[in-house]
Amino acid sequence: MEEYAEELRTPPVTLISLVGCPEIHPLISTHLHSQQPPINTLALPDFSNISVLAPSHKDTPIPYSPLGILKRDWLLKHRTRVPAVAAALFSSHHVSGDPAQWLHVCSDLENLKAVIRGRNIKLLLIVVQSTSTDDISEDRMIALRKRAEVDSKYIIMIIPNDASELKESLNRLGGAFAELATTYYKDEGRRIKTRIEKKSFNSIELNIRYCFKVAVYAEFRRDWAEALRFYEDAYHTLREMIGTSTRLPVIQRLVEIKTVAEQLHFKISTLLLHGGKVIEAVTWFRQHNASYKRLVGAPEVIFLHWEWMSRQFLVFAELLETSSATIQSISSLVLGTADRPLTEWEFRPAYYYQLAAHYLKEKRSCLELALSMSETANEIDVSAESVIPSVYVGQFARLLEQGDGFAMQPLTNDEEYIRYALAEGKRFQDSFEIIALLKKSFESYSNLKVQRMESFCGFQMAIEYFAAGDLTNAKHFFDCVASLYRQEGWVTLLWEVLGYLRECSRRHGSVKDFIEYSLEMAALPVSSGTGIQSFRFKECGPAGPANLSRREIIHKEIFRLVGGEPGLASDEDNNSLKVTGDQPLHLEIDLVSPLRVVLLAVSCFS
Amino acid sequence: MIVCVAVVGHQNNPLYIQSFTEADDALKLHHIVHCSLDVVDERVNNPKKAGPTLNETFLGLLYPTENYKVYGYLTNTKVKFILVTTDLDVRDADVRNFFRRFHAAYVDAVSNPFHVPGKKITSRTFAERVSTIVKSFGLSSAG
Repeated sequence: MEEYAEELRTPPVTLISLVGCPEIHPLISTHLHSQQPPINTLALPDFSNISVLAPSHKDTPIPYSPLGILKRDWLLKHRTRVPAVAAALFSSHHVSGDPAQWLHVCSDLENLKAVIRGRNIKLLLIVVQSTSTDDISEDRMIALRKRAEVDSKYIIMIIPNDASELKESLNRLGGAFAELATTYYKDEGRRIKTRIEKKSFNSIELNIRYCFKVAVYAEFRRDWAEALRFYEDAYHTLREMIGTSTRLPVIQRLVEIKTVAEQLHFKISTLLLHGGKVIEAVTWFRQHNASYKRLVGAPEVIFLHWEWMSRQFLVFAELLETSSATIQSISSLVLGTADRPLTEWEFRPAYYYQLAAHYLKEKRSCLELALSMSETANEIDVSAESVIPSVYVGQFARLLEQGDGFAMQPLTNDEEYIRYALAEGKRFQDSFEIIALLKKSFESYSNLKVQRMESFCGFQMAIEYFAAGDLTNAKHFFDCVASLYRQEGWVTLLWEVLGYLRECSRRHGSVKDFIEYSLEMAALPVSSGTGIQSFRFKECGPAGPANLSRREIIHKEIFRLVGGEPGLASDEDNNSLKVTGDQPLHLEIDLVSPLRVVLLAVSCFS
Repeated sequence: MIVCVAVVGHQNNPLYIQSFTEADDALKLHHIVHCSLDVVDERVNNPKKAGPTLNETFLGLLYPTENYKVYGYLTNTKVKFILVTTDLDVRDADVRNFFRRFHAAYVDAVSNPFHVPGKKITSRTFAERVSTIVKSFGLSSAG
């Protein structure tokens, strides 16, 4: 979730702007910020700064073909740079001053009006009085109001020196700002909504963009229901785009769609969860998962798909975790409907963390494969350096130096994009991330006292540690897991774990452990007709498949080791395991342990 | 397609586990079956949570995972049956029907005087019967 931009993660906050009289800006902005809901302030000290409020470019003609679905900075712009209301602050001296001052006030006001008209920003007037005895002539006030073309309730007097008056006028100000801002966001939302209703767009991209904008404007107004509806519309329209859009090269097209889908999904889940609709959120996630799971994309970049999938699970896990305060108890929920049953597991973050780890593992193996396939693996870094995210969400461009400045050029072909993606992929250490995810899941399950799931996570963690060469951690987790499998008699699973443990102790050079694990393995009742097929070697860990012939090999190894044959189970670091006369080995074996039988056999026949 | 079925005893020990898959994920299926026992425990200990009533033997969907769905069934002698399938759309009726037939096969197998209760089921007849039931899964909806 941290990798999402701040503006996406938090609900939008109304933005207003103050122009003129900079000395009382802190006073007003602090008050507005402490309001419920808060209002952010964009303070412009002087009327000469107002050009920042003007639209940055002339409006493009409405029927045009966009180059992307969502603009990357649109949301940030509306949260930090485009205010809903602009308040012009004038001091009472200037308003009631000589004609030159009055003229100055009027021209400032006209300029401001001209600038904000382009964006339909609402106007509010604040007259700052130094004392309550300051008198402004009625005529001037009426003239001011007429020039500003605002309702009389949107001209507010402030007397910073009078505490009791000030509080009241600040409250009035807060109310007026909130009211005007709501109107602004409503108007803007309605303006775009009409475009959707009239279908005055010639591309599906614009349809999605409009839905997104309406939803954001609704969020500004805290109309969560409407926001949700339009995010969902955008999401569904986007899903239909797959297979019909031809704007970008195939791979990049899918990447863009998935990135946008991810953002929309994130918004929808957040809204659902914060609204306490946990069941809907989980059902929604399930559908999201189902509709994108199979869109793996081109074979060269399948790892991107798994990475994306993993992120979906991770983010949902985090969302679920942060909103778990609102979920009082899972048991009170009525789970799902008859045709779409939900299970209690799907309400637990641990479940999603675990699957996030699973998909990340998938990503890692696909990335390794992709890297090994690409012949140019070593040259990748050079050409990929100048690739950066472009102005559209989910698109990438090459940064070109042009004289003093830079220009962005879209990546024209997929090869270039693949090189970039591979270079990016190489930068990350997935196994740390996988362990971190599994650990979260592991801890969460152990808090819930869900033993077997916990063990499974522990087991996967241990394998990661094992692969990374961290034998101490690996052994710790393998041992925990082994005890559960031992207790419940899951022979095949135990065999696998013991195989790892045996390998750990061999690499560690620990003779006692090695012999103990080997003896236990040799004593396991495998292949006694329980329908265990021959597993393939790869997935069975170091011990190989659990069958009689493997058992026999292990048997013989211990015989030879205990018999004192040197150099049998040595590893690369010269820690050869051996049992000699000067270093006798003590094994304490329980009377009822099956190990005893094996040991008897060993001592009899060796 | 059913990829795995299992019978699990009172101590959560496996009595019979058979996977029906060409791919080399049999071991993974063992893990999945083992993990699903947690869900069975939870359902049994908190019966009101689940939709079905207390006396229902069919436990329903235990949990979905990666590409699998896991279903459970608890006999009146507290023996658990676990089913793992890769089908996306599974009808409850089909699963119930499967478990009913599987239960019958299990009862016959443990009624064998040579079978030691609580030990692994090694009967070849049982294995054959199970594979027939598995093959016919989902084919006949009326059953």
